[in-house]
Amino acid sequence: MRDRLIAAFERAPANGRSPEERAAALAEMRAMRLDRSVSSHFELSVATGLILRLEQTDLSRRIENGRLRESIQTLAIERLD
Amino acid sequence: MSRFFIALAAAALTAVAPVQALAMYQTRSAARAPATRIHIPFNPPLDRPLHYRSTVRTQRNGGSTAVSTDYEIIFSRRRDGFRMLVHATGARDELTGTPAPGFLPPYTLLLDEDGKVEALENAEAYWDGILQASRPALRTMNGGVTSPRILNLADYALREATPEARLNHLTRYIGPILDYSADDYVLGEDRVQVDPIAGLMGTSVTQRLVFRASGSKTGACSCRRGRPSPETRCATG
Repeated sequence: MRDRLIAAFERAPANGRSPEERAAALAEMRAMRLDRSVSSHFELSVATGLILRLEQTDLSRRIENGRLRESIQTLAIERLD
Repeated sequence: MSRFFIALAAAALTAVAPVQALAMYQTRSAARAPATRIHIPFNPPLDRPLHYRSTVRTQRNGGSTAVSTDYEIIFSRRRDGFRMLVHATGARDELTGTPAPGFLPPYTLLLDEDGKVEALENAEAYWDGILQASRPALRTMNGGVTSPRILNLADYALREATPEARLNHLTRYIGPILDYSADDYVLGEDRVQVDPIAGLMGTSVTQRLVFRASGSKTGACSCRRGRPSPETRCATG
């Protein structure tokens, strides 16, 4: 994925980005490592097939500028009626 | 509209855009008998509003955000499937209790008979509107994005995304209500699911997940997806 991201960035127009900014962004991408895990628990209606309740946790870890960056995103969906 | 663009900014940084999936299934053998099988149809109520609330909580670099969005959804029939009108009727910041600024304009998804998303109706016109609004929205939302690098990346990600990647990004917080119907489950049986998912900026993520329907009660089936063993761990590809 990182290689695809770098290739996409290299194809992108500069859009006002200075050469230094572009080089810094590329270096950041090359140093990136990404690890994600997703888990979810949900209840769905046997009659309609639609979700009644869902909780999904997405844990993402990446290395950026030599530092570990971690984010946890929780998505909750509930049917209100 | 802000949550869409917050997610866009995050995607521009991490190039991760999950949600809707093209799924392939493999089934682990289950020796235990008798197996309880459940068929889940896609049979949504038609032509009347359904109401959902979607809440996203994010912890990143020591900071937390939490935004809830209420949706009104109306399913209707079309010749070879369904139409799904999605209208975000309000949003609020869960940490402060204040209304969150703006939300996405209504959109209509075209679904097949099994409830899988095929396309966004009037996709080009809708996406043109998103493109027009993206940069001002990123600049003015709470804690506005000012970095030219992030703004340029976000702009590029939106312009160059494939139709599939656009759909995945647009529906990431409400699309899961469709993901598990039109299927057969065996209670207590693990099923390994491999989902290649198109993301923004030409990226893709391969998720390997184990799915288990663990119990049922009147009218509802309780299920869990996760990664209980190392070989099924989610990986980037």
